[in-house]
Amino acid sequence: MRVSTTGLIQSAIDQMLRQQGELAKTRDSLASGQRYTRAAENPGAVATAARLDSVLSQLGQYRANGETALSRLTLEEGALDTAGDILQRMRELVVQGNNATASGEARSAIATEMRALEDELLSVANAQDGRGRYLFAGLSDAGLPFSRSAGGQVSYGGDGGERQVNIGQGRSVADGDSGDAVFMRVPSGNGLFQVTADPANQGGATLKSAQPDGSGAYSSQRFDIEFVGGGYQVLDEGGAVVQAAAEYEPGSVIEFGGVSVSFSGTPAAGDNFSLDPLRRQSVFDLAGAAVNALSLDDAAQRGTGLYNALEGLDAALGHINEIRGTVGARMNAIERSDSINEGSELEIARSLSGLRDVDMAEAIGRLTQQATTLEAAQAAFARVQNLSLFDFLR
Amino acid sequence: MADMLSIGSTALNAYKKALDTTSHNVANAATEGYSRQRVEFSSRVPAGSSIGLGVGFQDVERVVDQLVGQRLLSGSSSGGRLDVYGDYTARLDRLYSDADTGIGGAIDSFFAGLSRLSSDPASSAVRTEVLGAAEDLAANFRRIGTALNDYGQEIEQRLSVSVSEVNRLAEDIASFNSQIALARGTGTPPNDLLDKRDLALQQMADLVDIKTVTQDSGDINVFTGSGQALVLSGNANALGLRADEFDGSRAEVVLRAGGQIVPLGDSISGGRIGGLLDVRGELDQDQGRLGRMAAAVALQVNEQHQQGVDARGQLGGELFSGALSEVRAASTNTGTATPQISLTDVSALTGDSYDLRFNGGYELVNRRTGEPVALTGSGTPADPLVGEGFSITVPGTPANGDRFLLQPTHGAAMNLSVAFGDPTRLAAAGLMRAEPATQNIGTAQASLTVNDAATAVAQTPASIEFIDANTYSVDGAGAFAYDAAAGINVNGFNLRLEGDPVAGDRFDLNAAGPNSGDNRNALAMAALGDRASLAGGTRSFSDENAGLVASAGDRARQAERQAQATGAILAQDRAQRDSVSGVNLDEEAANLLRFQQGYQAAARVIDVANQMFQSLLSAVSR
Repeated sequence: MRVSTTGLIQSAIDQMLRQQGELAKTRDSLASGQRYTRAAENPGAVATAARLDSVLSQLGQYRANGETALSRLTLEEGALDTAGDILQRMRELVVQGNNATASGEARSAIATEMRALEDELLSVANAQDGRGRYLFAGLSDAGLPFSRSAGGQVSYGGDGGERQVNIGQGRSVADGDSGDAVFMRVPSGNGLFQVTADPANQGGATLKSAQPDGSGAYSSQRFDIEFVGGGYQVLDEGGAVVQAAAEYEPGSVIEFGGVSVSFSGTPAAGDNFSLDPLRRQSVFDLAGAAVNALSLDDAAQRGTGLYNALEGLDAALGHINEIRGTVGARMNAIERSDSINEGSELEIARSLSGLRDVDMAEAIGRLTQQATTLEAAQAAFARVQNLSLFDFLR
Repeated sequence: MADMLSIGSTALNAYKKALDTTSHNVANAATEGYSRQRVEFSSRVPAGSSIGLGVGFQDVERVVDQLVGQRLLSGSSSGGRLDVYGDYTARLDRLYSDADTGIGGAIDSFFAGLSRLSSDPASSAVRTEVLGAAEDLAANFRRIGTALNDYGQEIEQRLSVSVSEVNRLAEDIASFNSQIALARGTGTPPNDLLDKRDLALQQMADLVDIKTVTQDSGDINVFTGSGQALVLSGNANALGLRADEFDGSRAEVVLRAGGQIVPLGDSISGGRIGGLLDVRGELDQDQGRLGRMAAAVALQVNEQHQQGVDARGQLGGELFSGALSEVRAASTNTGTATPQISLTDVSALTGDSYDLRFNGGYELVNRRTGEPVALTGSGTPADPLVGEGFSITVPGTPANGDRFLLQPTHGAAMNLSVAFGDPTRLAAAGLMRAEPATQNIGTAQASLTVNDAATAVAQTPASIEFIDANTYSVDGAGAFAYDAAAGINVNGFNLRLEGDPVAGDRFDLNAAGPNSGDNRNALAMAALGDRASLAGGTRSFSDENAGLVASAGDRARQAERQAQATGAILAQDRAQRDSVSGVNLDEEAANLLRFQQGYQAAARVIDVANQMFQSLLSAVSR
């Protein structure tokens, strides 16, 4: 084929330019470590990588959220631990105070320690998360949740909300519990009902035990147990007599409506005990009631009050432990979720690397090959360029 | 001897001419569009004689292959178009796939920021970060939207330059036609003029697709791809630009012929001008599609943000602002109607442009598909016209025949901005919260969701009290049956209980206060990032972005491949043209030698004739 001189040069130049372009591309991807600098080089891979990037960013955020929640839950767990210890100590004190040998002075000392413990509990309930937000204030965590009124009553100023935090695709946990749920809503008595003594009682009857009888027949009614003459009668809310006995043997068990109650000591005629269905009480009220009971001089009244305080403290301990259990479960859930997220992250990072990262060995090989080709083209061009018949016309 | 002398001198003449031509070839070896020339020798044969009379030469011949020339014309048109188209599609591709300027990373950061806000709603650092991410997102949308707009303006400028270049070439070709006709009249072959005309045709084909018709006279007439005459013999018509009837900043290519204006519109399919027009269409679609994503982010985030309460305890406003839609009236309209668009349904938005026409009633046509779109409503504020995801109200009175260009999402990317700079105005908290009363015996926890935003934003407090486990009253009144599965609807909210309520349990609905730790609205906003809300609810933002990147990449790759294929064919055609018409210096060197030798030999012939004459003279003089 006939070749024109400019055509020969032009095609050589075109080829060298193309090879230089390829070489530059390989050099770019080696320098950046990225296989593709723009989507046109492999639209599918780049789009997939963009989607994976988005998932990766989300996973990273889930893990960060998990950490934030975990730090709050750790603080909460610590606070609950302390609260549990305080309640445990209170319980010990109540047991001590309930001992028949405890003197008035001893009880007064116990009451003083109880008050100190109550203050300590209040400061635990008002604990902060280290960022100026209160741990047990629900969603109104900017302001002090628990405050004591002049009358010594502790009231709750937070709310009952809890914050759900996303820690994974479709997985979320609450990063705290409201102070209301933790400290203000401890079930009273045995969790179903509570028997209290009328402050006007004159006799020596002290509540020994008040429990459901296991039949499940009790359902939130209120009863009154009245000692009349030598016997007693049980009245329901409407004042109707549910059960009556002409004779009461001190220490015997009174059973009615699915509950079984027993008293120690001898009641006086006209003494009255009321059985109230479950209510929620605050741990502070509970402590206050224990202190009140300790200060009672009447042994029978004190005994019933301390029995209820003990029941209440047991319930409170159980309540706090239950919440601690859920906190622990949530922390576990976060850790599980974190390891799942981490696993996915690794998997995605690997896919992304496969999609996007340049294969160094291959790229270096390609670079060498392209450089060699270019050199050859240049050499060939120079060689061919030297060939001119005019050189021989001398 | 006289024979020899005259034969020798014809040879001298012929070789001289051939040497001239060879020198001309050598001189023009690098001239663009030059076709090598050649002198055809032929022996001179006298009538009735056996001995020839030397050599004669025909005209200096130009070595060309007309068919290759034709192929080169159409190849140049495709090459020119793909050159422009490939250039812009590659730039768009880079714009979308670049990690820094692209949308994907910014969208991810924004929604990750909202998720972080949900884990720590009270932190002012996180709030500032989220607002910063929103700014970045808006800025990236704006950057790309503005780049698309700038490309559009660049295209208008290039169109105007290209059109005047076509006009100059048309003038040149017309004038070459005349000069060539004149030269032919004198009998001299106008070889170099023919080359120049061919070159001008090539340059013109590079700008716009043309068809050529060679007349018997040798004139070449040039027509546009759709058959409109650009050059007829010595006369040239001119291309022109006319302002688009909807958008004065955009021009339409027209042909001005004898006082008439013929719009060429879409009929230009090749050359750089064809490429520019194609890119303009792509830019329009990209602006609409990108805008759809921007509008969807803005609308959905705004809608949710307005259902929240900020750190100051006030209702959330719009987080993103900016005009999303563009409406342009045709310059020919005679009515006073000024339609306005508001976007109503993100999932139904197409990102396309529409023509709204009034002819007694309104009709809407999708410009991309050319399909009519069903409209409902009458256009009054109470009963707006509803199209594909947007509604149109038409204040003023339209006249019959009035037309409007509706671009529901075209402004969105370009105009997106963040409405406020105060991080405390981020509404992370829910509108209201439901709290169980402290004295509740039951342990049911309450959660609230908005089921009627318009009513909910009033934040009307309510108190729900259970009369028994299955009946409740609202604000102390009524006795409604409780359905645990359906929850309780009150004041625009749906209240659900986790756990069973007990008689006497009360749940209070209170407005969220300032500086709360409530994160529900942040959670709801963060969840938008995952929601498949676009394209009929099939694509999330990140899907849409990946789709945009992939389609832009695919488009650029296709353009690249087509350009490569066309380039290869063009190179082949050029090589073939060069192989026929190009100058080979070695060949010319050999010719130079050959003709020089011939010239020397012819001179020798004259010398011999002279010697013979001298010997004869000396023989006679003796």
